[in-house]
Amino acid sequence: MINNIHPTVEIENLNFSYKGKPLLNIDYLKIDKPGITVVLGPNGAGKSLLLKLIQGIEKPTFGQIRLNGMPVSDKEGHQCMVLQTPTFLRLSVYQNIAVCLRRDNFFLGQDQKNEVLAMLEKVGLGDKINLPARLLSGGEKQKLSLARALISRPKILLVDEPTSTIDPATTSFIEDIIKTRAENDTKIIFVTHDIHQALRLARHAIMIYKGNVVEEGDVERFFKTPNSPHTRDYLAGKLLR
Amino acid sequence: MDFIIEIFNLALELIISFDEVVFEIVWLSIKVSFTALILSCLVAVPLGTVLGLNRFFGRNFLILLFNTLMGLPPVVVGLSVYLILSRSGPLGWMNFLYTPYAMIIAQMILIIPIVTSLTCQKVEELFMEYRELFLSVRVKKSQQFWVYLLDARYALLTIFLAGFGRAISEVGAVIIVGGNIDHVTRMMTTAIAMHTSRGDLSLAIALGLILLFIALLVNLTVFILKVIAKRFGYD
Ligand SMILES: Nc1ncnc2c1ncn2[C@@H]1O[C@H](COP(=O)(O)OP(=O)(O)OP(=O)(O)O)[C@@H](O)[C@H]1O
Ligand SMILES: [Mg+2]
Repeated sequence: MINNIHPTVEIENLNFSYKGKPLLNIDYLKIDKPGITVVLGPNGAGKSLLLKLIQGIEKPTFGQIRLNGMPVSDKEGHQCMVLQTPTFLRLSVYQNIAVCLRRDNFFLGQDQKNEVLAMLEKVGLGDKINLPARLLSGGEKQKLSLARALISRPKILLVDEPTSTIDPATTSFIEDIIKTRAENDTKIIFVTHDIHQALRLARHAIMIYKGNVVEEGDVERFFKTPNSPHTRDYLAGKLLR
Repeated sequence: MDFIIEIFNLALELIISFDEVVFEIVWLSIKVSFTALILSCLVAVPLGTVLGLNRFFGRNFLILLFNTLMGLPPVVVGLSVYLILSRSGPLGWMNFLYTPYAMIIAQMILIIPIVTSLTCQKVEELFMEYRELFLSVRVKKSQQFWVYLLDARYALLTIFLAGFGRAISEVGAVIIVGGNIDHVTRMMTTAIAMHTSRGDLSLAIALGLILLFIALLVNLTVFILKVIAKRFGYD
């Protein structure tokens, strides 16, 4: 059913293989609870892959992903993704966001320009608007990357390790932005290796190990009494790929 | 030795005094090649971009074709354009033969494959670089086209200069379709060929030096563009 308040992601019989080797295999997964969802798992487990499949960047070998009941397509849809390693156009900070704003004509109207400037102000890049985006620092790049995904007001936002290279103050700054968005009816699914961050932000957790969902559930329960031995090992810092 | 020094002195005198004959020829060369460049880019940039961004049947064939045409011998181009524009040719009624228009057309045929191929290569490279980004923030296809061109602007300028360099230094095509007519279709390269064969070396050398200077200027511009691009992190 289409639900306007809590967007749903429904995955059925999903498989992504490369050269015959399955990298992701999910029989059934439904993400429809309110609040932020976190995806956990060791390096190479398939977390980024899952997000890219939901975004439509990668096509499944077989299986179905439905967003609010509609199959994922690369043309339609309201989901955006913040990539793990963001790339930037050879343009200024301002222009990097401006080109992501959906519009019908090539040049932005005054309202849209103000919208871009307000977004840059919000992520703390207000004084860098004319700087070439590729000259930003690592943390500034992650802020710009987040701003770029937020500007088109996605209903579902997929965020892949937004604070992996960021100092503590900026991390909480970015967490606040994410939280505010979540309170404003954007379904957020994010990946992190920071367990404390998962606890601070998420209500719902998914554990991926070797391309399989080995556990999911309410965050508090997930961390207190993990069911899966993989989750227990991961949380204890013992699980390697 | 004295002889060579003397004609070099004469050549330099022609340049420094802004000799009317010399600069009429220089100006015509620049006008023709620049016009050919602009018209070529109007065709080649969209064509290269479409080829670079889309996958369709026959695409590889077209890419191979344009790559091959990059090395087209100018005399062959001259001959083909001559046949097309000659009185009994399909476009003979336009009366373009032995006019600057004929030379512009011939140079366009030399420039278009270069700009198309290089644009296609660049855009394809950018397509790989930005595919995930554009899908991740859902930039519309129609919007992407302009973003690619904007992103590639420094590379495109360099490509244009390569096209201009090929056109202005070429002699085989323009001498056939232009005819090297004084005050009408006499270009730097055709004049050099003619004056050298007549033994009028000072004029030939003066024009040769200017041509070299233009080539230097083109390459210097390319170099400066690269430096600027690098400073902005746009390389
Ligand atoms: N398009 C692809 N084609 C082939 N293999 C891929 C593709 N995308 C990902 N992989 C492989 O799938 C596996 C999972 O990759 P993924 O990026 O999802 O890991 P991850 O869980 O995000 O790890 P990390 O924590 O290091 O970011 C890796 O072994 C990777 O090499
Ligand atoms: Mg990853």
